[in-house]
Amino acid sequence: MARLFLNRYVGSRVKRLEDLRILRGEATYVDDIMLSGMLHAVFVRSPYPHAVINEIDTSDAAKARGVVGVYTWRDLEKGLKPFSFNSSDPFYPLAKDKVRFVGEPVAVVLAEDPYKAMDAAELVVVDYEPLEPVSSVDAALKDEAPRIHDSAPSNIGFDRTYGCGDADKVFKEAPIVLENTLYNDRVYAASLEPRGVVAHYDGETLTVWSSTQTPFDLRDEILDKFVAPPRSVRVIQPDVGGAFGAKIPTYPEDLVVPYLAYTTGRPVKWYAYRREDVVSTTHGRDIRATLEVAVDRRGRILGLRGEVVADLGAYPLGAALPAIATRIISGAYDIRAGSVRALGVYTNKTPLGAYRGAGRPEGIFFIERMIDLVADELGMNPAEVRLLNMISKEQMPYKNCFGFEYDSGDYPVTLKRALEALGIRELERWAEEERRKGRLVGVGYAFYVEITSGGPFESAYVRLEPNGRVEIVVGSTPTGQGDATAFAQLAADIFGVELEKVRVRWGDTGLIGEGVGTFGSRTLAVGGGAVIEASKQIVEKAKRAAAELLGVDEAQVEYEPGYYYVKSDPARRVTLLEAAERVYRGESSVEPPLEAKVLYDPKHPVYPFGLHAAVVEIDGETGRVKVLKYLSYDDVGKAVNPMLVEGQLHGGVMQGIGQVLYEHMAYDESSYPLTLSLGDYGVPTAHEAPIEFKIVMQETQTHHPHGVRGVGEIGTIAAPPALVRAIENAFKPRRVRITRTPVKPEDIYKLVKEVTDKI
Amino acid sequence: MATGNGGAEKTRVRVTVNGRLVEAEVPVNMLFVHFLREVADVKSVHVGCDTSHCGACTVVLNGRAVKSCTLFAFMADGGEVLTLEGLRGSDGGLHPLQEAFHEEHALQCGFCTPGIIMTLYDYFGRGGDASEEGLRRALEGNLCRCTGYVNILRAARRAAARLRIPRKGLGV
Repeated sequence: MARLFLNRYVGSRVKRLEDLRILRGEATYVDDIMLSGMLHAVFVRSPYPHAVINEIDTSDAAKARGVVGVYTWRDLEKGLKPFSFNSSDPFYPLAKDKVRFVGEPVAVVLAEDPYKAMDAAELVVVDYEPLEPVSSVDAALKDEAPRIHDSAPSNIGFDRTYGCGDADKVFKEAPIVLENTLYNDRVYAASLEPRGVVAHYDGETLTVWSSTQTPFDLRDEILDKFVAPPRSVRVIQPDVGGAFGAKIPTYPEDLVVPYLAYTTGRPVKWYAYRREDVVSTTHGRDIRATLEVAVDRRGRILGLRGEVVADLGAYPLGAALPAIATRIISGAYDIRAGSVRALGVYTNKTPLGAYRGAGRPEGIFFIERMIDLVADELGMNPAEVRLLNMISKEQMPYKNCFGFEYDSGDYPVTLKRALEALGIRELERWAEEERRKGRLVGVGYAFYVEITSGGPFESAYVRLEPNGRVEIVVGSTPTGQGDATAFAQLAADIFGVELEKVRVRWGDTGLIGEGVGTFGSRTLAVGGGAVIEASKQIVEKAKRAAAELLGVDEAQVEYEPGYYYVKSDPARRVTLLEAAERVYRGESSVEPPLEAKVLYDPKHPVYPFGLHAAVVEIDGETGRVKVLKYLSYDDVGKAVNPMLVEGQLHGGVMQGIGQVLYEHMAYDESSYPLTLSLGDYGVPTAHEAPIEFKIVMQETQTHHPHGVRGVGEIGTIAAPPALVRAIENAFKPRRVRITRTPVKPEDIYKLVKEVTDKI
Repeated sequence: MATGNGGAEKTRVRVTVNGRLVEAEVPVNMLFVHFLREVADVKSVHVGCDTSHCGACTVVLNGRAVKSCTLFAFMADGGEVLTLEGLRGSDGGLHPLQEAFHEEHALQCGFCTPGIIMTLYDYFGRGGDASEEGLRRALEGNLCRCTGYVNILRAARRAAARLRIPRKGLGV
């Protein structure tokens, strides 16, 4: 193939194919699935963070009007297996004899309607014997701490040290060692749509609709966890109202609801109340780093060491998170010696899990804050410190000290270009002038690199129909990002057909058997790769039909998007659709249909990078921070649809801003959750959006075969360190240090008081 | 179907939903949002929280935007409701708000979109202007977790221009 794409759609701001259904009110989310005879499930959840269950009395609930059944683990254990882990006791879909976090499911009521189920759930009497809760990692690591899992020797769920070189020697000899403790507190993904599951068994197939990112995993989990699974399980991901990583795991409800539909023979729906979603859906962040950096007098970083500790909550669903944070912790910098221990510790809180970025936001926050610390302590410009320490283009591909291998990128040049393109110097001068007039305004920036597009594979099925229509089914499972539009753009430009002729479907294990899903910013790079490869196979397959039409040997035929031509005489050509028609009419030696299914694995992850900057103003009287401007400069590789890239940046950045200024999944010192509504939790509103938002994209070569890097998580990774630095800089020339998120108005007000008191 | 508590008294509720009369005997404790979703079969009205924070259930009732989860069904008796399903432009096609949301990529997962569009429809209908502050205030009861609001505000301004809404007015 001379060129892969027509570039008619690829690279353009194509409007989304997904929109019209939604804008006409025709979308179908899980709560919109209504089946006749459907029962409604309401879960009884633990009100205690840590307790032994002595007895559950379901007799009153079972007698309540409209109730069909009340179930505890005793009723399910013959048919259902728990989730099992190496480092903890099993996670029973309904707690067996112990509860480990507020919100853990204990019993479930099935009734004719949700009102009745809700009322009956209150009649379930559970005799708990409260145990001492473990409310923090520090408490959990004490020798005398209560053990959360009886089968585990300690409250440690993950423990591994990453590094390179001789860190101890480097630190012993280094002229300067700086230390800091940094923390990203617990957050909640807060998808506007809570989780939900509907299931229906027709005697042969168990069909499950779940608001999930991973329908294939869910299908496999059901087949694995049911002692006697049905003949066939089909999982459908309906429209999903936001996911952000928190809909990756298979949850207890994802097993219990299908199981009850299977065993009662009636359709069952469970749709989470918000207050139960807040405590039962995995939380994010909650990772602390205690780090030391060894530096020479010029600002060159010689080594990095310390500890990264994640509060895993009650079960190890997020055990990999401290490892990811640690493996990216050298950021964009060439650090040759290091030793960082990654720890995951159990507490009596909701399990930690992936949340947009999943370890990378924490790792990048930690290193960017350390770099700023070095700059401040040595009296250097932060850009200088970054340039001095950055991995050079010549070192690529570069294996960092903690085990990630970066594919490509010219970080120093990108940093310089970004400062220029975003006008950072001018903004800094402006801010300085305004500060002289008494305003508390600051400009801050951070540089990030992140890993995206991890394995294993993604699937795509593509069929070119005789009328030129293209039918695509993918294993990717987008939840609002617009990937179906991007996939259609890719296929339309390979086949040279109108975008309107391409139909993309996803999220149904009944349409394609193998698939992985959308998470880790992998959908365009891995899922898009699958669409490209399957499309290319169709082009290859139809080539012989083209050769027959052209009357030449197949080896003489070349393809350009839309048509084949004779190499030696390019004026002789036939269109792809002419070749396809010949195939479907049975006139060719090529067997119809023209279809291909591909499981695509690019083998290597890709690493987007760039610089984000924020301009903030602090209200000195209230401590409130306003984001006046947000500016980003990102190397995302090929932007198949710049409009969608911008959408991902806007949304991710807002979540990053939320993490810094507003959002906090708070617990009290006894492990009771305090923020049980969207308002208490602090999801940002339109008032909190930046006044101005500027995006610049850069495209340089990647090692990805199709030149793309992921974009979905950049915002949550880059925004926190940039914004925190902007807040610090608003106090200039005084120096304040912010080491944790969130930083709430009361914290900032305190800083304002401290600084003004010093004058 | 959420037909309400078995013990609850029932009452007859008649509501005109997008020009169609819907009449049913429903429990007195049935929330209006459930009446719309399950009795009137209007699925664009979403339930995203239990505390009236999210705004995903916003509809226009008797000419005013309301969060339909804050009312019992009987409280809307005799009323007229407009939801996203009933929204049309003057030519019968998409309303300028729907068009603008499409053009500006102002929706991602789409769960908040119906409520946000109905809120803006009400706001402009009541003489709200297209000023930055006015629009942000109009949207403060509607949460969106995907778009960061940037493109929603752009779409609102685009729709306003098409609807000849002034950029700055007296405010609502």
